[in-house]
Amino acid sequence: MEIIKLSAKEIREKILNKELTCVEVVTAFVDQAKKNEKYNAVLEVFEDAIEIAKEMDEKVANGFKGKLAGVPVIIKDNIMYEGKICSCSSKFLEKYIAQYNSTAVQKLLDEGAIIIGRANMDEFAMGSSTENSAYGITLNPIDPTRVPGGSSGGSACAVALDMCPIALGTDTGGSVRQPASYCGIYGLKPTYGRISRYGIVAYGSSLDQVGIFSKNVEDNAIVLEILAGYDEHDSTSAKHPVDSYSLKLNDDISNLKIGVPKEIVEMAKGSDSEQNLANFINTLKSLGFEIVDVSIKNSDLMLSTYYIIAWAEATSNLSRFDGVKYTTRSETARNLQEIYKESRSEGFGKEVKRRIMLGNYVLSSGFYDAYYKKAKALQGSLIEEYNKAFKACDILIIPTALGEAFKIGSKASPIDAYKEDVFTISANVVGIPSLSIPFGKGANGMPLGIQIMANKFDEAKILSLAKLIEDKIGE
Amino acid sequence: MQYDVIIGLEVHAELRTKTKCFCSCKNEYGSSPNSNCCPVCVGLPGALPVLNKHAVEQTIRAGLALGFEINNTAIFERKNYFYPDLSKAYQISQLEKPICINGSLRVGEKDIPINRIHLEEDAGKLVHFGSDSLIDYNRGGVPLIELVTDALKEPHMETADEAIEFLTKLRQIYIYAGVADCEMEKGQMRADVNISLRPKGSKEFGTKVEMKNIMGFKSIHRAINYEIERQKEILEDGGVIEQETRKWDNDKGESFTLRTKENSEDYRYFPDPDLLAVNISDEEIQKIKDTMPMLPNDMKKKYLEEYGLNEYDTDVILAEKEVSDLYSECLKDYFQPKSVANWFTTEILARIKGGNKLDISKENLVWIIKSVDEKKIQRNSAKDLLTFVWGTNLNAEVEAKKQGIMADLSSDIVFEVLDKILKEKADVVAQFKAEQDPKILNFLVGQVMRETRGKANAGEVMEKIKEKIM
Amino acid sequence: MDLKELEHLAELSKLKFSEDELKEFEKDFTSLVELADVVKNANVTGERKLNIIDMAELREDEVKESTPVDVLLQNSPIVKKDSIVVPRIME
Repeated sequence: MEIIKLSAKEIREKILNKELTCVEVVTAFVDQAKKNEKYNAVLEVFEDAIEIAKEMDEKVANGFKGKLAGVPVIIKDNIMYEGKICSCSSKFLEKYIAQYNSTAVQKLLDEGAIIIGRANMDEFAMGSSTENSAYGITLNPIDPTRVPGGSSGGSACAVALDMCPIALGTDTGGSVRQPASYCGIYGLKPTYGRISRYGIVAYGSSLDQVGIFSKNVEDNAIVLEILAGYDEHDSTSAKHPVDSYSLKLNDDISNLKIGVPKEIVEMAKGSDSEQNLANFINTLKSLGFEIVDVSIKNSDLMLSTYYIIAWAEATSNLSRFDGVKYTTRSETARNLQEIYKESRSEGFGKEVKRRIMLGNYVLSSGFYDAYYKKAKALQGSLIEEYNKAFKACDILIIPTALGEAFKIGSKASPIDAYKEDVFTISANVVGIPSLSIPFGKGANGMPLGIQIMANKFDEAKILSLAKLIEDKIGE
Repeated sequence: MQYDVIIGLEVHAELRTKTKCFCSCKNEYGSSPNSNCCPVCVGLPGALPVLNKHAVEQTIRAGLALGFEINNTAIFERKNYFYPDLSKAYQISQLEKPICINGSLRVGEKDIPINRIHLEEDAGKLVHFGSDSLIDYNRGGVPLIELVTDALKEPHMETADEAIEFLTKLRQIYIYAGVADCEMEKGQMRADVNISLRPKGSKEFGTKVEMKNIMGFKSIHRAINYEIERQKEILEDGGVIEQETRKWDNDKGESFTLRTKENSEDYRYFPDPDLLAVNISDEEIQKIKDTMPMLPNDMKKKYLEEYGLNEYDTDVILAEKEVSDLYSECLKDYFQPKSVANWFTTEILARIKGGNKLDISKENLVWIIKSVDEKKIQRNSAKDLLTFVWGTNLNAEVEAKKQGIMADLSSDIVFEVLDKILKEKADVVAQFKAEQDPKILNFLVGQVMRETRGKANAGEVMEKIKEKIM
Repeated sequence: MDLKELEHLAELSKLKFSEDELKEFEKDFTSLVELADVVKNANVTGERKLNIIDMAELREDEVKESTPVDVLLQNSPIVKKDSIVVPRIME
């Protein structure tokens, strides 16, 4: 039995059965992380993880049966874990130590998970390749000349390389699903408000969601069950009841109607993803599902709408990093204005600066109505379009990305990089859940992904369908 | 040339709540630096605001007290600017849909139109110390309501006196409504003033000059008059008023430019994505209406019509809520509105002048007033007694007995003294019988009073003497 | 987008750029503003969706313990008298 190949569920069972100890488990995964340092997936392996594992063994011996007892987890470096550095892969927060636990981390800890490290990312989650990290590029786990995707590339790579069975990321415009697709694993972005954002360093507050990486559907469902729910610290977290996702995985879903939005299929024309989606549709048909064409008007406006909202919110969210309160203060600054300008100019990377500038552009006096206000109105009409679509079907399927993971350095211009997000942003703009599942291979043999999307709070339908396909492919 | 002056006010008041506007830290003045703070107050990454229901209720209450319409949907925006006392580099405020719109306040014979009251968070405080400025975020996040008058609508405030009357009345209403304590020296109420001048009779508005954060009504009065004169002088000299923000220096008695229009801030307001729009139902508004404490105007009516007090007494008692509260408490135990009011407008007023603390229990005060009315104590003794027990835990009745100042005419002692005096002063008695001069009678009463050290009731002693010798 | 506008945005952003950096930004900005202009030029009417909370659901006004000041300021560059310090600000 190779420990690092076990699922989270199996690890917990073996620990509770005394087949394994937490120390054995954590040691195995920590060793695996250290062995694969060259991928630069993990910024820091937490040295106290073994100690915590020892304590957890005692707790288990005393009858603790947490749903993640002894399960090692790696978190994206924008998620607060008290006492640990939380750098957002920025030079600006190089020494920033989390002063409190994010709700997501607290919930994991309460169920016995052991957080063993923090993962590399695009600085402040701005990017789709993890190339925008102040701490170096993360390599694709399958082909190290390619990117792992982003911004949660470190988390995706860590799971794909068996450094942990579960990793957390955040997804503002595809930052969990696209790297999941590039690394050949599962990546879920739940409904907006399903998981508390408390303790997550904000990028685009109205779009951000914590996402879950796993190697199988069931682990993903188990973790979602734990993380989902209302949090009094997050006004935007939903009071909607939480499903028993993991218990519903084998529910009869044969009557689900699957929709294929034709405008989005159009965008995939000529890419690897076009054929891959067609194959996926055939798989669903062979499983007996009814497939319907749906139309989502104005899909061509989605990308611009998304970026205007994200830039604007990011600008405001990142203003608190000013060299005054907790970020590194420029040593040359002599007065307040210099503290602001020099600290921020030294602390932020290029892409972050670019988005801050763009955010100020769309919010500034004289431009607000034409950009930000209009984008919010368009968002409203896009939500209507999706509401209409979900009257005609239960599930939407679209590609996760245009194709395989691209080569490091190949998307040098920002506009090319932004267009990477074309398929993933809709779930964020509309606020619906979406799971990227590994399906098919590209021309270079790299994994591809398909997104299964559903209406708000319908994660159970997504996960059940994904489970069915996982089982089918496994046959 | 004659000018019309148009004065606009923006008044900030800190709400009275237990917790801050967007977190559960204490809303408390005077704590040690940064001791009432949490990740939200300091704007730590990942911290999120959670709106205080009571802050919304208090804002609605303030609006209802001033006859505002309440918006059924309230939105919170971010006002973005960098300053060290603003931890997130944005202030959560309201722009598009404030909680209260369209109210007014009566100043003299004018109903001054008010545009809005919105809810926002206060900033922290900078303490300057040598070459350092120290940041204290305790005040950061304290709920603050901003009221903005509508200077575009008639009628306008035109003089410093009117502005001060507006502020005084506003403060009184906030305090009576229980929404804010408005302690000026704690900075719980602060005002920005806008002033513009235009040639008399002109319909066009002149250029507006703003003066920020002036502390205290006296300074505001001075600053307004200074600014009116400054603008007049410029206009008389054929000059042009610059649109600017000025800062008042109270020590020098003058203002100086803080920033001009060219470098005015672009606050880049947008709805705060961390907060939801608030649905304020008519039922919620009604609930707040139903629990509205009695406001100064209604109390005045009651004092005049039900209690029969005069205008002056009414205004004196109502000026400070603390005083009118004590007055109402006293009436509960001893319903003699006029008699009690007399004590308030003289003795109480004299003792709290200049900001001295109102420090007398209802029990003591009622006992003293009642004892005087029932002629159990001499008025002068009662005043001394009031001074004696003021600011202490002493019981007035016990002290009065101890000091032996209680009148007790039925006691044999008074009769004995009276008889003794009449016997001793038989010649005087005879003289009175002959001349019937009231002065002589007063002399005899005085003798009895002196002998009983004021314990006797002079009126009754007089009657008794008359009875005996006539 | 010209250099002067970029400088204004840099001021709002509290960022400092060298002239070369600004010129590079200028180049990228053109294509990114085009991206944003898709929204500006879109002939679509829509209505903003507000996420709404009923007043009754808001947080109750009950005090909870604050964070100890040493924890709160542990990442701060300069702390004196339990306060973050900046060079004295003159108005």
